[in-house]
Amino acid sequence: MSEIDKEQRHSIGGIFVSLLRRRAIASSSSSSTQTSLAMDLLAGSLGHLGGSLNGGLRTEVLEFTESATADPRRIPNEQRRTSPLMTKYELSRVLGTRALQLRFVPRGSLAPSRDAGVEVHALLTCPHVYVMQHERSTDDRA
Amino acid sequence: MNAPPTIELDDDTTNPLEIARRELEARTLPLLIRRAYPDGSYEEWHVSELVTVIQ
Repeated sequence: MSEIDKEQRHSIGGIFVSLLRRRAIASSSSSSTQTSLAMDLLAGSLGHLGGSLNGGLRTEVLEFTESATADPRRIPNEQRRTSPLMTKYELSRVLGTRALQLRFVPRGSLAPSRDAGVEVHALLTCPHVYVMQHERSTDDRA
Repeated sequence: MNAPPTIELDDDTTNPLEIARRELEARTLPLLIRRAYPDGSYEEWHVSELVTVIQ
């Protein structure tokens, strides 16, 4: 583990630590590659903090999604062609999905709280848009 | 369900939809949007990357 890597873990919050770890696993890389990944993450987070709406297009989370998926059908982030505007359908879907996750469920109810962390399979108002959670909830009160 | 919010909340904020809206504004909403093409390929956008125009 290089110096910048350690510093990275120290200075940025828990989510980025997990990003870093996943990246390292996904790329099974040498330490020099890990260093550059860490610098990518740092640059991304700085850009995110200081960025306007448009400046926020390249963020640390973008780096994360890139490494977390090895699916060949997934278009790399720098080659994406769709609009950075969230559609009203996406907005509704995202807010609704998140509201369900946040919803208080009393202990002992039949609702399967374990499902909160897994991919949402249901098709929505817009059949070409899926929403998924990019990280499992740390809180498992099931 | 029972997911922990990603933002600090007042005690009187209990509406999950309202919490979701604030998470969206704070850009901490932990979701990806997968935009699929007909050929099966897809793009993934984190919610925090997307510009939202609140009507």
